[in-house]
Amino acid sequence: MGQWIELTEAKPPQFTQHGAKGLKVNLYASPYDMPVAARGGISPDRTGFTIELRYLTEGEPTTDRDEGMLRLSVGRRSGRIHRIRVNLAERPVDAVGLQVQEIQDEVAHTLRSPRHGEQLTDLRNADAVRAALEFAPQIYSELAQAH
Amino acid sequence: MQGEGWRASTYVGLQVAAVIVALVGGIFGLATGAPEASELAHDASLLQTTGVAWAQSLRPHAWWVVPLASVVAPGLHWLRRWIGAPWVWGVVNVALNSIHAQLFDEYDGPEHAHRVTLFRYRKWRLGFDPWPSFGWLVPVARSGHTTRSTRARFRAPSEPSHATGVAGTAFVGRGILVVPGNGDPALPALTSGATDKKIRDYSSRSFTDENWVRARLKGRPRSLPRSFAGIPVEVSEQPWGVIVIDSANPSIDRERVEKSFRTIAGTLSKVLEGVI
Repeated sequence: MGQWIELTEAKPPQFTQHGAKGLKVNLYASPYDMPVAARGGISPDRTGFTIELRYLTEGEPTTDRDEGMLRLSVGRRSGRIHRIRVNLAERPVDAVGLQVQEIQDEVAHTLRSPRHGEQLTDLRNADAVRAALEFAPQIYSELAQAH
Repeated sequence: MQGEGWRASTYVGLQVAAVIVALVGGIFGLATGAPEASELAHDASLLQTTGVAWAQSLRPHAWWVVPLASVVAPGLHWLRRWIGAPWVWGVVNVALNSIHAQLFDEYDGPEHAHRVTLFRYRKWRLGFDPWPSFGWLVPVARSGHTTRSTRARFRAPSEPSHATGVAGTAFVGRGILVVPGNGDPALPALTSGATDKKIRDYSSRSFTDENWVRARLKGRPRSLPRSFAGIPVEVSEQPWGVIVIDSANPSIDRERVEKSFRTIAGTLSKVLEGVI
C-alpha cells in the first residue's frame, strides 16, 4: 500500500435541504463523514487495487458489499465506506488499454449512485469520499506506475 | 444547563446510594440463609447470639428487600451513567474551551461575546410548552466561566422542516451549518427595542420563532449573537448532539470552525461513550 495521504484540506461537499418555515438550508458534509486520510495500493497478485479510508473516529466493524467491479467495506453502524477494492482480475493492470482514469471514473460513478443505495451506504459519506478522492488523485499513483 | 457542582455532587451521591442499596440487599440476602428459630430450639443460647438474633429479625423482610435492591441498585447505576462522571464533563469543557481559544483568542472583548455550547439530543423531555415532548436538544456544557447557565432548548424532530435553531437544523441535517452563509448579508444587530422587521429577519435566518427572539431580548444588556455555526457530534457512529458556536462577530469562517472541531472530535466522541 502507498503512504497515507492527508485529506483534511479537501473541501466538504455542500447539500441543500428544507429547514424551518420552508427555507432552503445549505449545509456542509459532517466532519465525521469526511475521510481524514486515504491510501491506495495494488494487491501482491495484481488482481485488485484497494483504497483505504480513515475517519475522525476509528474501530467501527465493517461489512463487505459488491458494487459491480468494486467491493465496498461499509461501516455497520454508520454506513460509511472504509475500503474500496477494485477488481482487476479480468483486467490485469498490465493489460493494454487499461486506463487509470477509467478506474477513477468507475469509483466516482459507483460512489455517486451505489447500487444498494442508502440501505448499505451512507450517500452523504459517498459524496464526501468522492470529493476527497478528487482532491487527492495521487491515491491512484501505484496504479498509474503499474500501468 | 445544570451547574457543574450540582452534576458532580449528584453523581457522587448516586454512587454512594448504589453501594448502600447493594450492601443492604446483600445483607438481607445472607439473612435468608440463617436457620429457622425452630431449628435452633435444641440450643437456645445460639438464639441469644447477636448475629443470629439480628439475622432472624431481618429474615421476614428479605422477600421484598432483596428483589427491590436488585432493581434499585442497577437503576441508580444507570442514572449515574446518564448524568456522566465529573471527569468526563471536565474533558468536555477543556474541548469546548479549546475550540473557543482557536477561534476567538485573537479578538478583544468579553468572553461571553463568543461561546461554544454542547447540546445533547433527548428523545423526549418533560416541559410545559406547546410542542410535543419528543426530539429535543438540551444544553449540557459551555465554554468559559461566564454566562454558563442557559435554558435555550431546540427542537430536533425527525422532520427537518420542524427543527428549530441552528442547533436543531444542523443536527437533523447532519451537516455543518454556518449563519450567515457564504455571501449572505450579516444578521442584524438586535438589542431590546429592535424593530419588528429586524426581529423577523433575525428569527427566520436563525431558524427560531419571533416570540422566542423577543423573549431573549427582554432586559438583555447586549445584542444577540450575530453569527452561528452548528456541528453535529457523534458517539459510536451515531448522532449524539451538536456543538453550537455563537459570536458577536458578523461572520464565522467555516474552515476554521471545522479545523478547530477536528482537533477535539476524536477525544470528545470517545469520552462521551461513558454517558448514556
